[in-house]
Amino acid sequence: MVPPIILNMLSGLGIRLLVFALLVLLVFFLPRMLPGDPVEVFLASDLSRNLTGAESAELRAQFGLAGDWPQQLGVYLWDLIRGDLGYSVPHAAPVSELLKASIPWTLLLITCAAPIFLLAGAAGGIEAGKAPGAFFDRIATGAVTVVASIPPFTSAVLLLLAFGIVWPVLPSGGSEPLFPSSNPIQRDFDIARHAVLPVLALSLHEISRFYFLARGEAITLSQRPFILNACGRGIKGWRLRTAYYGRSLFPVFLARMSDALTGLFGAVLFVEIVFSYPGTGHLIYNAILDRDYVLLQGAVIVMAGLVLLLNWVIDAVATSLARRG
Amino acid sequence: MIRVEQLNLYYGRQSLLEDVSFEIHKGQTLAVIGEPGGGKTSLARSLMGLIQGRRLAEDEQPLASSHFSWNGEAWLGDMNVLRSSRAQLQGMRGCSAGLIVQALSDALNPHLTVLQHVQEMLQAHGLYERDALEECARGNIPERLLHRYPSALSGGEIQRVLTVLALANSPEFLIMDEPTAALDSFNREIAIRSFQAGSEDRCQMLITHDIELARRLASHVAVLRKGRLTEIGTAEEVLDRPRSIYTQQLLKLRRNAHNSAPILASGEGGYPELEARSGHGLTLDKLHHSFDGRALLSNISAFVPAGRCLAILGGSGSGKTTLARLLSGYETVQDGFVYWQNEEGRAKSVVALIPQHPHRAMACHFTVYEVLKEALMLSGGDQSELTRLLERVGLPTDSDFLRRKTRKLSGGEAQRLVIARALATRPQCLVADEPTSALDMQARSQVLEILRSVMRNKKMALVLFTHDHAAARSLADKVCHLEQGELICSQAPQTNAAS
Repeated sequence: MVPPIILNMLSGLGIRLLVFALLVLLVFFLPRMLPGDPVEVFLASDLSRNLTGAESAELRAQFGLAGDWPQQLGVYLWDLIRGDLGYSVPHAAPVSELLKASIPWTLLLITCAAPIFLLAGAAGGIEAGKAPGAFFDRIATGAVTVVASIPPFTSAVLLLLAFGIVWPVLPSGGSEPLFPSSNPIQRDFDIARHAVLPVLALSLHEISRFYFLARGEAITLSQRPFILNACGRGIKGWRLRTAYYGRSLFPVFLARMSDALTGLFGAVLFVEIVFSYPGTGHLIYNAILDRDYVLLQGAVIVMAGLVLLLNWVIDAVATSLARRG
Repeated sequence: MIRVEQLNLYYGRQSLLEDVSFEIHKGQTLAVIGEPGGGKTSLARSLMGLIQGRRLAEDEQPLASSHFSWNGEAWLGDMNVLRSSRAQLQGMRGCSAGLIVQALSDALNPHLTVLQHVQEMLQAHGLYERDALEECARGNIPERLLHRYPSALSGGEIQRVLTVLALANSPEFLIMDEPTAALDSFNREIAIRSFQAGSEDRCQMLITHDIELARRLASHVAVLRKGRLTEIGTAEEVLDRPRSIYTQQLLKLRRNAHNSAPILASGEGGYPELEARSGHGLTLDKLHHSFDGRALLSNISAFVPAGRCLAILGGSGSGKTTLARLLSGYETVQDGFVYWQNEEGRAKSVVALIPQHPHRAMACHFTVYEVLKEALMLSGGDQSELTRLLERVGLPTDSDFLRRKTRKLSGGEAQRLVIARALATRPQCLVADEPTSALDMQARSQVLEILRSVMRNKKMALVLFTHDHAAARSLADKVCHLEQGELICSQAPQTNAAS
């Protein structure tokens, strides 16, 4: 028999492929619908020289702008299938190389931050929701409300100020020292040190979302018969919090994760800019400033693909779990 | 011993228990009987310290809020549960005191299997030398159930798991809240025997509306009405020579329910149309159903003519609920047919389900009016029908009642409202899944009477799933048994020997 999770994954695959295809089309057409000519915009500087018609046409071909739209689309899709995302002129490097260098840093931040905000949010929320209105609930809910009301870039700047400048215990920017150590252990340690503040800033932003979710769920759960019965059987402490509250929160958390992912990739952009962290956020930010459309298109497609992929897996797991009730 | 002294319990300003005092000595079993909503479950929870709220100071009046508050004393042995700290209470629960509650579908952790529940219980109390498998076997939990999650268990199976869990640590004080309501007669016997075994070393409190159970288990009986103890004494005193009028009424209802004669006592020989499969009726044709690769129902065929009732009896886990869900379309038919037979041939059957727990079949924030209005909107009926529906099921039609939220209805009222809602969709067939097992005697007889009258007057086919033989006898034209997934029907309807 096919395990249900496989069936769930198959059923979710079609819609996501469709979304991805539409997104590719959107990314293709949007820059072409902007007023002005990318080649002219690119060359619009005081030092430009007049191009001959042949030179201009060659440049257009390089930008993938030769021929009419259907031809351009054909070329674009063919390149995409081959994994060629174009060539970034400002960076003088292929887009795929640039992304390959930056994505690991972004994933490092996200994979380090996710357990922190999920576990802290769940633990705090369960503790508060078990006895709403009690001492812990009042303190924790107050504190989380304050954190939630600070936008992510502000909290990132505050963290930077506190631990990078006023009390400089942690590096204030970058992902490694200027000259990375040749000793791999020392190098890993440096990378970890540099990641602490960005990860913290990212977690702070997401923690409130999951704290309130867990608290609300825990309030309802503590009224449910199976929890009351478990208390009556003397199940308590760690066991009650994990096997009873935690396990029941799991599907809700997963469902929320699939929509929080998009927000997470958005938040990572601010955090990377504040800490000059060489991840995709930083890359996208600079691409916007440089009007580097090719890089922007490539980054959007890859990030969207990544979000859809994670969202697909999470959704399938969540659906399988929800069957248990 | 268990000693309760002048216990008052409030929810907000509403009084749930008023001046309740009693003592249960070692070896005694006190049965607390009375109508639902009389505060019985609150009493059980307060003895376990499971009520979240605060103690009222001397002479303090309860405030209007959504919290519990109490005063008075309740002792389990040397421990005053109403004054103990949380840590003390946690040490007591599941150790010296056990609680068995009625098995509703949410009674067990949906993320743990049966075996994991039992193992957890043994580990939580340091009973490492005991074997979880043995505990399960003792509570008549067959091996095939051990690795199932609660969503795949029937009500009776959940009840057995709850019983095993509560008795695992041999508690000194055992509090039982409707411990057999979900069980069929066979498992009921096993449960009763396990409550009797070792009861001389225990203080037991039994909360029930089942007077037969109280008679068998209890040495003492207390009658709780609207939060007050109206009568307390030994079982013989209270059950045989009741002093208060309320107790007499309760007992009389019970007797009536037990002796209710079949409607068609002259019906020996059966009804030809039940066998002939002619005329209008609900037809089940060779239904097969399997769950997780295991056959649950096989080759189920039956015909229920309009205006007649087929009762299907069966032990817990025999597939009653699954069959009910198949008939009412909540489950997809895997193999076979369910259709309505009429002159033109086969038509799609219009079926309404009457579930076991009426409160869970309605949104608790809906008013009575909204529940019926919604059903009438769906069936395209007009609002004038609303009053007629309520009258048909014997509910009040004044605007006060219409504005009542469904969560504030008693079990009987809620079940009648669910029937009214089912009728609003103008079904050809009603499927009732244990419609009375969660009700007290009075409500039970009312609900059975209503089912009977709509079936006869509206010419509806009624399929009644139950383990209540008396209910089946009083309603059904034909009784079948569901055994090992097969429907076994006696030719003639069973008649009541007492009549």
